[in-house]
Amino acid sequence: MIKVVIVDDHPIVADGIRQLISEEAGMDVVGTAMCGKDCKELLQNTTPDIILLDINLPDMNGMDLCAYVHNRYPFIRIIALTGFKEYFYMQKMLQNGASGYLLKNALPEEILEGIRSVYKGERYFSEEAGSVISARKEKGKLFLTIRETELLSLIVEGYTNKEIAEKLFLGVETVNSYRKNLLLKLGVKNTAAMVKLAITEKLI
Amino acid sequence: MKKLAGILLGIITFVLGCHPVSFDHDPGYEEECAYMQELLARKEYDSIYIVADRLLKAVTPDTLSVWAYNAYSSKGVALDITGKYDQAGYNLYCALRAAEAIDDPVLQGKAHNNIGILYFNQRDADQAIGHYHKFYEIAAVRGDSISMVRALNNMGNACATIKKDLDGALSYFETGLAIADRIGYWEGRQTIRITMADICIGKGNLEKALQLLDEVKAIDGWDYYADYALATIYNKQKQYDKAISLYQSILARKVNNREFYLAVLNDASEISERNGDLKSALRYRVRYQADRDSMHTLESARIIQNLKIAYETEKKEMQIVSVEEEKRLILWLTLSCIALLALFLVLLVFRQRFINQKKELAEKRVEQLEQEKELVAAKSLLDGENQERGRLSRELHDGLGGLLTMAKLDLDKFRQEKETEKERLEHVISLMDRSITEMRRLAHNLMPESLARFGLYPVLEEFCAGSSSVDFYFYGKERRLDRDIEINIYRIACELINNALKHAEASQINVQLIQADDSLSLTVQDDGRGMGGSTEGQGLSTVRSRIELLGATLNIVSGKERGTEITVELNC
Repeated sequence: MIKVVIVDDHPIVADGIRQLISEEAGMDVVGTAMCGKDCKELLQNTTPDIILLDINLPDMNGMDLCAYVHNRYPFIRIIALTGFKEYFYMQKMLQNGASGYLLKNALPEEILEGIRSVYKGERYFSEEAGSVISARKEKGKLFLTIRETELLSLIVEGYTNKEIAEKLFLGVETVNSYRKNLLLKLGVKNTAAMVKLAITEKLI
Repeated sequence: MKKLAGILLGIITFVLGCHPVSFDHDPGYEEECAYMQELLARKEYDSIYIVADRLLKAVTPDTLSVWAYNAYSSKGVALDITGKYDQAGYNLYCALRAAEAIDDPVLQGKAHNNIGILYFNQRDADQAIGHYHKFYEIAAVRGDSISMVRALNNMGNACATIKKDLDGALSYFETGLAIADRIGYWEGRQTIRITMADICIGKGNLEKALQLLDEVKAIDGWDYYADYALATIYNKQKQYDKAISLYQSILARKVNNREFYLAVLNDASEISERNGDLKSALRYRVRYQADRDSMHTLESARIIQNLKIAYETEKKEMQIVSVEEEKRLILWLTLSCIALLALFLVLLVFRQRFINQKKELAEKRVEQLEQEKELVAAKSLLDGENQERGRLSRELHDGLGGLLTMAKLDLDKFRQEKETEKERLEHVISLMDRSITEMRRLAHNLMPESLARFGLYPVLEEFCAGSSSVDFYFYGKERRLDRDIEINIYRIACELINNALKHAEASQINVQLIQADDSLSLTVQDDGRGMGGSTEGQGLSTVRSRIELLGATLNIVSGKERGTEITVELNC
């Protein structure tokens, strides 16, 4: 019997999902909470296997609550159940310990399937969530602005900051901060590595 | 004369008595011991106490060792020289005990010698001689002739100076001299002879004294002590000129011993007076007095007075000198007056400059305040705008939104009842739906709730997701910032994106947000028709004022074929 707790501040949503789960064999709802505080109190007395967690709670950020629960009760698996379909939220929830991400427009079968998969130890994303993630992975190709491209080619050719500043009619400090941003973006530690990356990845 | 003999002997005893200790034990603290000896030579007595105490602490609890001996001995000698006799006694006896415990006859002998010197300094002849005798006995057992000579020398010295027993002293010295001559101990042969010469002079036996001095010359041991003894003999023989020339030659050399030096000066003064050379006598006397830091005794003052009275011609010289000094004083006063005046003028100049500076500062401050006022005005304007938008957003959502929703529900119910007009009703309902959505979007755009809750990244991502031609890229580490910064950056982004959508005729817009540890960078780029110089329009001016408020920098790249790229950089 899979024990599920639902944390959501919309009673209609919570109710609907509770009905869905109780009618399904093999899983049961052992508690509900409408805010972070209630959830924390609930977890002191009950130990579920799965928590369905909304990100938008009235008293605290769902992502912070996720981190809290994951740190304190590492054996409880968390599935996000939310209306936010931006990559940022998915990334943050996963970082904070969630094992699955369900959008509220998911089909009922997806919710049940998600609970079963996560209980087995797998990761689960509802279909739309999954497509956001894969779209993101495609777009992972690097994007360089006009300025950054100019800067990179000048750096690769070996110009100093001062010379670059003169060439592009910018201040030296501006060139410095562009250079810093480039290092961050490309994920390299110094100019030499940046040049190497630029050449091997044919960025310029 | 006797006094000088005593001084002489004291010097010799000291020089011969304190000898650096050498040993062949394990090289544990050799350096410290050598260092203490050096400190003794340099007369840095306070340092000796520190080093000795440290050494003693290091060897505790084994305080009966050769290191302990060295520490106690050095400390005791230093205390003796500085006149702290009680503490010196304690330390020197501890040294003796240590020497006895390790059963080292050399060190025992030295310990006795040092204790003898201590008693000598306290004018206790019997105790001093007793310990010197012990030193002698130990040396005799070992066959250490040099130490025997030294011990005898010290005993003779104590006898002569304290007990005033010249004959007894001579017998000690003769015994010592015999040994010294026998073993060819040059130092002993020289100094003992000079000492004995002094004693013979004191007894009035000038021939014996001269004979001894000849012997000193014969062994090539002539020094200024011998000079002094010879001078004393000349005095007794009333050959004053010879004596004085000897004194002069002594004083011409560098004399290390202050007591000896004073004695020479004293005798030089006396003999000069006896010789009738008052000028020199006065000079020597004055030098003598100048070197002693004790107070003038009445006796000395009287002597000086007498000499001065006898020297009337010198007074005239002094008068001339004093007049010259007066002149110098007046010159000095005039110069210092001028200097004071100059200083006064300089101060005036500085004061004037200071006043000017203050004025400048005050003007700058006024400028600064005006600038701040402008900034405050701009900020409050934007703040007010933000607040107003927030209010509008809420009111829209609460008031209008509620009404529209209710209307929709009503219509829904109505549709269910009236099957006939279904189509028209459905049309109205869909209109309402769209109004609600539109109103939500408006409210959201005015003041997005997620901005305060979740920050720039998600909100910007969502904003861009609403438009298919807008792509959003994020690099770096997501971090929350001050509320004002987030709101303003968000507004700037919205303006720029909307501008690009409306005016640039672009097909693709890229929005990039980079967050580093200490800075933030927002870039909006489009591939549209670019900005000419004149078409900046209304949109960019609000962006510029927000940027100025934040203290950020703006960078624009634009061209007819290249599209437009605007970058905002901010340290935060």
